[in-house]
This record gives sequence, C-alpha cells and structure tokens, in this order.
Amino acid sequence: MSPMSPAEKIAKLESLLARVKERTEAPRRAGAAPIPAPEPAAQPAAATAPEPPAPMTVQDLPPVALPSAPPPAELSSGWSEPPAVLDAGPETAADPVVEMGDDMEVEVSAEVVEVDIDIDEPGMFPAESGAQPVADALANGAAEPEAELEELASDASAPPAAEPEPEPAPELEPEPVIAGNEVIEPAPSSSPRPIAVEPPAYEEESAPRHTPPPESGKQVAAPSVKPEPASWKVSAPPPSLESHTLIGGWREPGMAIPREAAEPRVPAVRVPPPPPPPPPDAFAPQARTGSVSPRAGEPSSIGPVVTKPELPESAQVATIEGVAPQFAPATFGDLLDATLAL
Amino acid sequence: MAGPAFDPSGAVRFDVNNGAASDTRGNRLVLVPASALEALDRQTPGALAHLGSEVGRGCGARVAARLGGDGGVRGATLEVVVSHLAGELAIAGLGAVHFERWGRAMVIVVENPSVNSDGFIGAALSGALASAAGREVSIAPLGREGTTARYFVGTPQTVSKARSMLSQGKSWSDVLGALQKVAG
Repeated sequence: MSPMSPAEKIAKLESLLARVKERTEAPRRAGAAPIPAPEPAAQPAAATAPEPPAPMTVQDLPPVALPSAPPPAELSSGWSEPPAVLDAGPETAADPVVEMGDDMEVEVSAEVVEVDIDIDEPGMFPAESGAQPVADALANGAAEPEAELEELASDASAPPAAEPEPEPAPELEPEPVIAGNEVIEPAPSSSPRPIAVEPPAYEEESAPRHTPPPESGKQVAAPSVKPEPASWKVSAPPPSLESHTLIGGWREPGMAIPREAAEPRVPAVRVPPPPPPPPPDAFAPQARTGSVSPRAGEPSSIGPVVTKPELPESAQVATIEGVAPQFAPATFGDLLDATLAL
Repeated sequence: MAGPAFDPSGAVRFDVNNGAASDTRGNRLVLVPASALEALDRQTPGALAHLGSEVGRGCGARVAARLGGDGGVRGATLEVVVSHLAGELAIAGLGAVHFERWGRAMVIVVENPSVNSDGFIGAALSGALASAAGREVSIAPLGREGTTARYFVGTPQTVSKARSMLSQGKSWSDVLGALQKVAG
C-alpha cells in the first residue's frame, strides 16, 4: 500500500467524520432491532494493548473496524455478518483492538470469512456455489477505517462524536440488483445472531449481489452486499411485467427456482378443446336432380345420386312405308277363287 | 243386298197323313237323330263323311236354284250367298254358319253343330259349296273353341299343307298366315 500524503489523509478523515455525524443524526429506523454494543475484544486484543487514551499519532494506530450492524433476523439474503468473536486463526490478517477511551472501542477486522453453504433443500438450485467472500463491514477500502481512527484520535480529548451504535447498513454503494432468477441462499444455520429481515424492495433485488472477486493478490474482503433492510417490501412484479404470467416470466424475487420450473410446465388448468363439429350425416339425402358434386373438404359421404332423364311424353317413333295389300272381293266367286288360289 | 233374300218359308213340308217329310220341291226327307250319325261314324269311318257331303250338296243345290245356278252364285255378293247357304244348312239342322275372310283365305265358322264330327260337318260344307258354285273344294278343320268350329276352304293341296302344319302344333292363325306367304 502506498503511503498517503497527509493532505489526503486529512481529507479522508474529514469525509469520514462527516459521514459518521450524518449517520448519528439520522433517525433510527423503526423496527430495527437495537443491537448491543459489541463486547470488548477478546483476549488477544485485550492483551495486545490496553493503552490509555493518550495522544496518538495516526501512524501508530492500527486499522479500526467499526462494528457493523448485524443483519436483520429475518434476512435470508445470504449476507452474513463476520463473526463477533474474532479468532486469531491463520486467516486473520490483523485484528487489533484499540480502546480509545471509556466510550470508544474500535475493533478493526480485516479478516476474510469464507462461508460455504450447502443447500440440501430439494427443489432448489443453488444460485451461488463455492466460497464466497463475506462482505466486510466497510467496503470503502482498508484505509478508510484507519483514517477514521486518525480523526478520532485527534479529537481524543473531546467527547466522542457519537457512540458507535450499530447501524443496520452503512451506505456503502448501491446494492446490486438481484437477477430475477437468482436464488437467495438461506441464512446459515450456524449464525448465532438472529437475523432481522425486512423485505427489500424489488428494485434492489434486481441488482447483482456479488461483486467480482479481486483480480489477484491477497484476497480482500468483498464489499458488503447486505440488502437495505428498510427497502424490503412485499415484492410485486414491476409495472411493466404485471401482465406477465408466473410461468416463464416474472418470478418472485428471493424465491428459489423449483426444479419443476426448469422443466416445461403443464398448465394447471386444462382447457378442453372445443368439441369437433358434428359429423355430417353420411346418409343424408342429397339433391335428386341434376349433377351432384361432393362438397370439398368434407369427408366422403355415401348417398345416392339419381339422375332422371327428361323424355317427351309422346313421339312419332314408327314410320310405315308402303300399303298392305287390300283384298275386297266383290262377289262370292272372287273369294272362292282367292281361297282356292292359296 | 243385291240378290234375293233367303226365305225359309215352306222349306220343309210334313205330310202327316201320308207320313212324309219333303222339301219345297217335293223331295223326301228323313229325320235322323244326330247320335245315330255319330254311332255310324264310330262303326263305319268315312260313311258319315259321305253322308254329310250329300246333305251339303242338297243344300247348295237349293241355293244355286234360287240364285240362278252356279254362275249366279259366283256372281252374287258374298252376303247373298252366305245368307242362302247359311239358311239351308240351318234348316238341315247342321248348325249356325257364317263366313270369315282371313286375307285371301275363306274360313267357314260353324257354331252349335248337331253332330260332333268334323268329317261329317266338313263334308257337308264342301258339298254345299261345290253344288252351289260349281267348283270342287276341300275342307280342313282348323280347330274347335267350345261350340265353335272353324274350317278352312281350299284346294286339296293347300288343305293338305294346313293339316300338316296343324299337326305340327301350329295355331290355326299361324297356319293361315303361313298360307298367305306361300301363295305370295
């Protein structure tokens, strides 16, 4: 880390002080559970240096970690508070506790906690897998607490500007919008503290919750992605998506994706298809005269097609040629001669 | 009718005191039962035909006497000759006679004949015609329909053909038609 110039440090400390004052003056949110002040640091911190509030230089002060507000009890967004009791484990880079007075006790923690949460709940897809960095209380950088301590140290004689009351969430940066299909992991079962939950607003949920990991080097605590408790509201689909269906469209934020959702869904209510049109009467009588052509597109129906001839009622059919011989005997002798001539 | 009408009055005279039956010219007559003639036909075939021819010739002779001889008969109308012949045959008791002409063929129809013998009736008819008209003719029976019997009048050759065809089962109308075609 490159050394900062005094002017930069002063500017940072001033900005930090302004933020602290602003927070202390801001009214507390209703419903936020007051969290007791953190206990003094553990033995390692106590053994380190219970120093009197003597004037100190900024350079000498170790980085101070302000106690971050615990997450709401009902929060199940996956955000987890760093452990209250700091263990001097191998991963702890530095956890000095500086007691700056009777009223001031600053704990600086730069540890990185990896939380692996295995979700065995059936029907849930883990949206996040593997180790994820837990957000630090302050994501503004490692030097910021340090600068804040310097500011406080300069005013050691003065009463503390504000007791380090737990703040639910420092205004760090705009929270990422959670994607609609992102699964929110439940709170770890090992968390000793209750989690107060206020439903976040839908708009905030749509932001991504994770920041990309550091490019290289020592792993740095990721900025806190704890959602804003006050903005947790009863989720509702955005106005633009109100007309969408729950199938394949908008999904309740924070809800896990059921396995059935990944598969094609069958509509809950089946609308029976319209009944087919009644089949045409196969033996319905058709036109009896003239040429009958079957209707196009219809199934073939068997029916008699009768064509009647049109004949005249009477006609001169026979033609007689010649005249039959007429025999008209005038006397009895003519007839007798005729019959004897046979 | 151009000729004299047939007048049967006084055709048969019965002299009861003398026990004689005679015609208008005084020739004696014998009343013979019809059954006796039929019995004669069974016992002496051909005798009855001869008898019948003689009966017929008597009738024809009287017609010719009235009509002016055989020339008068041939020159008389068909109706006059038929009327006189039919009248004389009726007085003789042979049956009711009328003539049919089928084309050029002469057919004599006898209804209610007294003697059930075609030989006897045919011989009487041919005798009557020959005596009246002065020309020998032959008679072939065509058949009976109830009490009506038909007889074809022709030459002996033609009658022989008709008999032959009738014996083959042809109807009398077909025979008459066939005779017309043969003659052309």
